[in-house]
Amino acid sequence: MARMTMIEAIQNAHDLAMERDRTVVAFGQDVGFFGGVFRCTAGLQKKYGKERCFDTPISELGIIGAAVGMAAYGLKPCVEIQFADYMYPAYDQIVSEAARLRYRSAGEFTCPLVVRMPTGGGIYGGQTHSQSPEALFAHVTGLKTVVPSTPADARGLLLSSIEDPDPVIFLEPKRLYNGPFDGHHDRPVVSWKKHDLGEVEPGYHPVPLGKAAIRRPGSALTVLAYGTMVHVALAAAEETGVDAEVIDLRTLLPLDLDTIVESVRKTGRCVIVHEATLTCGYGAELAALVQKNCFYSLEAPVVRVTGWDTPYPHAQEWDYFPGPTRVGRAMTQVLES
Amino acid sequence: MTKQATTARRGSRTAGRASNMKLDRPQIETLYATMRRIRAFEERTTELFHQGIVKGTAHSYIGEEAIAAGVCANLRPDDFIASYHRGHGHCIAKGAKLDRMMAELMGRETGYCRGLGGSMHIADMDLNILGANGIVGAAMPLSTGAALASKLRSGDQVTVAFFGDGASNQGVFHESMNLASVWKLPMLFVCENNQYALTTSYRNSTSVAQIATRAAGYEVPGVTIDGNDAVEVFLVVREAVERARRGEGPTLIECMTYRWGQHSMRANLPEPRPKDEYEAWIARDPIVVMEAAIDRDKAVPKKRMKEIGEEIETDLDAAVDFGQKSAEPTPEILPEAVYAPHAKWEEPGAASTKREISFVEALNEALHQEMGRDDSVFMMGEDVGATGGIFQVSKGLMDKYGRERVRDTPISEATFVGCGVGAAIAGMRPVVEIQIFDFVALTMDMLVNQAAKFRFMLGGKPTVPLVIRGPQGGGIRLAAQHSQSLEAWFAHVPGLVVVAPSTPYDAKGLLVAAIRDDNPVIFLEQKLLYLGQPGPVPEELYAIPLGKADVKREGKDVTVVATSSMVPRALAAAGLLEREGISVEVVDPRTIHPLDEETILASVKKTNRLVIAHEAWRRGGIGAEIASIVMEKAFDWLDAPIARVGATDNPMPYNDALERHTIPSQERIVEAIRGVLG
Ligand SMILES: Cc1ncc(C[n+]2csc(CCOP(=O)(O)OP(=O)(O)O)c2C)c(N)n1
Ligand SMILES: [Mg+2]
Repeated sequence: MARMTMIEAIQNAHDLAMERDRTVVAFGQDVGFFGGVFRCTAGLQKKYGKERCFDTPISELGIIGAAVGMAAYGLKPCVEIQFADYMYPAYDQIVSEAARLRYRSAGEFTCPLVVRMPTGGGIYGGQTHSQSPEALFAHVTGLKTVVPSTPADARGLLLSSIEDPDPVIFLEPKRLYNGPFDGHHDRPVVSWKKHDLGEVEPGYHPVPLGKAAIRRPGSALTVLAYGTMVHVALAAAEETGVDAEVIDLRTLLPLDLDTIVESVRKTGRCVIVHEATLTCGYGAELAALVQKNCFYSLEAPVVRVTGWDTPYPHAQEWDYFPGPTRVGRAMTQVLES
Repeated sequence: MTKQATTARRGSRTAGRASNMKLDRPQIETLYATMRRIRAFEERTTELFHQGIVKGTAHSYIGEEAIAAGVCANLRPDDFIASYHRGHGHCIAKGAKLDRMMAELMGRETGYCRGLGGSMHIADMDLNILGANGIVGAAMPLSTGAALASKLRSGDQVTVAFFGDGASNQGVFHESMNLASVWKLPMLFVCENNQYALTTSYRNSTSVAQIATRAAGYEVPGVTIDGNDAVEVFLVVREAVERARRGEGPTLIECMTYRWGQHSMRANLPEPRPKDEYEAWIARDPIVVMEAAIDRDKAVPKKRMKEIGEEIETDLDAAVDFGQKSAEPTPEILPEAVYAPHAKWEEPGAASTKREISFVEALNEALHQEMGRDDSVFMMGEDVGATGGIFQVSKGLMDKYGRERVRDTPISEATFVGCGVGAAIAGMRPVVEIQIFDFVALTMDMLVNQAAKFRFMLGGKPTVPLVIRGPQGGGIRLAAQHSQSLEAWFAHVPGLVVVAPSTPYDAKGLLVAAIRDDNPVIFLEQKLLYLGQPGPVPEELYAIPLGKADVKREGKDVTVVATSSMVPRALAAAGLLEREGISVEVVDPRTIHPLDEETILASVKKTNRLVIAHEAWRRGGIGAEIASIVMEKAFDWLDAPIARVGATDNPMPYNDALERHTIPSQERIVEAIRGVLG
């Protein structure tokens, strides 16, 4: 087994997919010559040439628009938006074109497109370099939404996303690029290379979309999390001693409702954690589904622990971020109520 | 420059020449001192960044100082500027104080944005600096709005939009150039062409040899000049500023320059720029160019030059000290920083009148009365003028209030919404129509990253009194791209208010409240309601408080929280079930954000059962949020799982029967009610 950082794993997924399938192309701002500002496409232009891995002008709308057209006519574009915060100029192309193509053409055209973008805060990025916009995608019919939390998942889920015949929004928690950041911002992050979760089996191993992973089995309560918050939840369980079952959703859409329902019916309690703002966040959908499907097993209200209902503040970044202390407090509260 | 004079010309490139030093001494001193101030500030910031005192990132302006200095020396304190990520230089040149800037970079309470913005959002509204901006290209639409505001007030302020070469490939550059030209806005587009966008050479990503030539496509004068020669910049900009003040419209000025450092202080990227190119440009240091010319012309005594340097050092030491001694902001300041307070209105109630008008007429009346009451209210959108809007909501407004205040826009949603944001910031109260709300996806950056965050990013002081309104939803066979119901997107974005009336009475009173509110309001008009029955609406002007639900029907067995077009259907369902002895309470939130939790919770605590109905997709819809809140806060009162009724999980089909299948019907609401009772 080799160990990789999440960045290397994502790069490796591109490499494997491009090697196997000549229709896979990768592009975006600074993606080609330079290999991406986070280096997720490093070396691809050199290996596969400028036709298959290239730079674009700063025009998000143009990037996605072109990719939709390419996808409709037989290519499999895997494009990068430099930060999720910059996807808004392209939002119309994602919602009105990519997500609609199959439906509008009654299946005659499909849109096998992957849009990758780094999300989340914790890098002092302020309001326009820290957002977690998953709810804006998960509400849109026709899109799939994926959020990995480990290098192996990042690679495997990206491979599946590239194979998938429909548009996939692939959100990369940027705090996880280098190691399993657990919200303790005052401590150094262990590199994936020094961590068991950094193990990635060499070769082409897709991870199916729509299948959650139980990262920590437990019986006292269920924590639903994805991306960075998986590691925060694990740390909170460890620190509070609460026997939490931590479920890593991995894909928000399609959602693995069975795993969630089975767990909550067993534990009777549920905490949902995400970094995005509370109101109308994806946690609302999860809470609504949990209460609907597990109503008679619930022993306490489902609690959501999230970013505040404010933009990501520059100065109080770590207050906004739902770290292990806040998550731990919620766990104890749910157990006591 | 004549209107047609659009040929780009190359600026002089001779080192040490500093064109035409026939300026008077104070002007020369200002240009020079400003460049030095910027340079010293950036050097100090870089040091502080590497010491971990300035965090996140900051983009150094070193190498490009002549542009900010030359441009801003032509501006008055009340002129507007909007800038981009490389924005410190523009602030300094416009007169911002170094101590408050430093404090902001350090994230302190005394900073220009109270530590909420940082380098990428640094601004000073007292000097009409609309701020740096983290989104490439976004300053341009905002600038069109500030320029429009001064035009509408018959002022002679000009607005300068600064942006990089990379930004000239964003759609909003082209849309803004077009809008500014068509409306002859008093504006300057100043492109700081440092020849790279992050690592990408502009020559590899831009279709023209010089960006200034793009001006020709919009009948705007465009020139390319030497951006490392402060005097040349000053003189060319002077002409363009005069032209704008005379009402002759915008100019595009492309300043050729080079940044000395990495893209940002945080970046640690391999250098894509060839060594000889790099060295040639470093040799053309704008400060050295100016010093050589000053020396040659003996324009400023040596002693004074030395003093300038010393003054700057003293100021900077004080600024760093000020920042480091200042307190950090505390989380308590955040909520007020997101939203300006909403006014508390007394509403008359629909029962107060017998006069009945339609939903559209009620909206139209609100606009007529508010425009009559307040000069700062104006409207814009596609076909809103002579046509009165495709659904006639703005009928008669242009005849009454003129073309200036009721403006037909080009089909450039991102830019005319951005224009609305800019005009609102500059003190107007724009009402912008999105012809069909689905097109709002094209404006998401302007709404999410600009309108919603502007107040917050600037420390919670400015207001953005903007209304974005238009028809949403299905029911008239317009299919997948003209029928969506999108309130959940906006409800998820802190900083936006979301309003969705269901009756003519609510439509009028809420639109008035939206116009008067100091926050950006998304005002959603469900198309099915355009087709609905007339209802009672008082003739006088009234406003309904935002965030206040209305119990549309009282009942005791089950609560239905229904929004906009689902309110009539829920009421019909309630009527039907009454015959079977089932008593249904129908609560209409009216505003989706802020949400009147109190009324909803009170109702559920009474009935113990809840159905939520909206026209939008169920998954991720506002119903999920309401269900979560009720479950968290009324858990022990609930006798059955909460049911959500929403559109089926597909885009809107064109076929009549399938469209009806997709949109929740009265029958589906009845079924859900029986379900929770059952
Ligand atoms: C909409 C958007 N896309 C991408 C970015 C990331 N980004 C920040 S600066 C930059 C390069 C901008 O180049 P240019 O406009 O030439 O300005 P410069 O940095 O050269 O001064 C990029 C790609 C962004 N901030 N916003
Ligand atoms: Mg540039």
